[in-house]
Amino acid sequence: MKQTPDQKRIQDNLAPGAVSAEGFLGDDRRDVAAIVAADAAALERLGTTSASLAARMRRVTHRAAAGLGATVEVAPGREASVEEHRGSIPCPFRCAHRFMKRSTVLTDCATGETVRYTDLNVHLIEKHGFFEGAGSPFRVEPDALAAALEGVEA
Amino acid sequence: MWTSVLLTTLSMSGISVALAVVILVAERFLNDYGTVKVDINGGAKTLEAQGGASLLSTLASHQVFLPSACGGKATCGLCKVKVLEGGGTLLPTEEPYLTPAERAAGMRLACQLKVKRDLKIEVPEALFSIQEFKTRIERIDDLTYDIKGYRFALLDPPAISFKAGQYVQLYSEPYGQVKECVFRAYSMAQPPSDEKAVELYLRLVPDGVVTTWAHTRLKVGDPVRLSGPYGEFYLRGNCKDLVLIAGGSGLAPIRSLVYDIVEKGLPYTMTFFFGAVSKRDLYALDEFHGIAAKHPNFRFVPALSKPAPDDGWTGEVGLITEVVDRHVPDAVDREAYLCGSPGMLNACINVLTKKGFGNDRIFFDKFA
Repeated sequence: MKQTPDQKRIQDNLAPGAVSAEGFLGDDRRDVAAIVAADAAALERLGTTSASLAARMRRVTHRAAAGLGATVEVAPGREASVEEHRGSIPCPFRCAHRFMKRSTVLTDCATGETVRYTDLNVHLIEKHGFFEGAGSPFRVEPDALAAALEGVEA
Repeated sequence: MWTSVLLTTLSMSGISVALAVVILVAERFLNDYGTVKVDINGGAKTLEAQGGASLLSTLASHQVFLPSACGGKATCGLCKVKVLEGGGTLLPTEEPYLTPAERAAGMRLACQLKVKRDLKIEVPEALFSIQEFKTRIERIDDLTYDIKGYRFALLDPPAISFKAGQYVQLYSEPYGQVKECVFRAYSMAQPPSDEKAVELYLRLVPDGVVTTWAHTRLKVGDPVRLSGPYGEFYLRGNCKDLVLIAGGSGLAPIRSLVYDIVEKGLPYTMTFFFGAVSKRDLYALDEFHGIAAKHPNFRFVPALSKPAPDDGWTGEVGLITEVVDRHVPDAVDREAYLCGSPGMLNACINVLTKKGFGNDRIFFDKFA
């Protein structure tokens, strides 16, 4: 299907080298709408919503940020650390927001499983239902994220 | 029937081609802004350029460099310039970075403003001294697992004049799937006396365009472009005691300040707090302990918030805010210089403010 100019700009922004070095699509051959639809179906199966996940991700980051890089307990059985980098990054969907280059690593203390997400991930999930394409460096798997956030209150 | 299909296809193709030609011709003539004149500071400098490019790049192509940390993507808001005439209407992408007072005064973001007609602008005179430098990489050091130190020998011009604490812009080249040159701002780590080179400490930003390029592509001998100096982070020196706080690659401008002060024999006492999580995040310990051993007016306090069991750490332990709180009694005759992540800086500024440091006593270079 032919893209509108706005869709074309978004697609360009998602490609490697535009907003980030590796881009947001990884080696995923699906278009953005198909990626979003598949992840929305996964959320439905998990019985959660992107808004609920985003709210809890934000809560984890807020609590972990107090550790200034060190790991802190953010919920029973959950630890997290926040890493900040120089600069900010815009939303590839052309929202009028920019986001700190900050990533949160959330660990399930019982299993050792970790999930890493950025401030931009939280926005992309909340506002665009976009968890990024398969193989993207910052792709967040809905199943893993939902499991990691179990027990974290919004 | 087939004739009809063929004729329809041909006529549709013909119309498409004709429309494409019309669009190309229209772009050629309607988007041709011709030569435009940019008057800077009431005729102090005038330049002529082909219209259509951003004011930021138009000025840069005539060796007038405005500060910018984001590479012209309207995410840092540093390239503000006062436009007296010819700027047109404010764009939505500029609005978040301009206060009502700035908008009323005609301030614009040079990276967003397209030069379409003659312009009259005002810029600080100091910007005229910013130069572009051709350099060659002289040395690359692994400082930590994710920070590298780069020493760029200056070729043309061969020397840089700057204040300790200021920064330069580093221009990356296209690589991999990155199709364009991108630039980012980094503080200089060498003192102003070391004028024939620039030293930068670059922490790898995961998926970052410029730091990925630097960490994975650059090698000794490579040519690199820089411009500078920029920035308002430099020694004010209105107090006797200086509280210096850094984390990660924020060590760079503090190093420049420390060397500048000890080389010039300036009459300040300094306490430098260098915070990290564990020992693998620290570097330059021997260097700063060495300065402290030679200069009684300099005290070095590295601190770890969560030393690893095998770190063998015997120094200060705790969040950098806790360590600063323990060591800095009050704000009397003290001013503070901070460089690091926004979270660390905000937390430290809170501690200093509670101790009585006013905004005029806290100077910082935030990684934002």
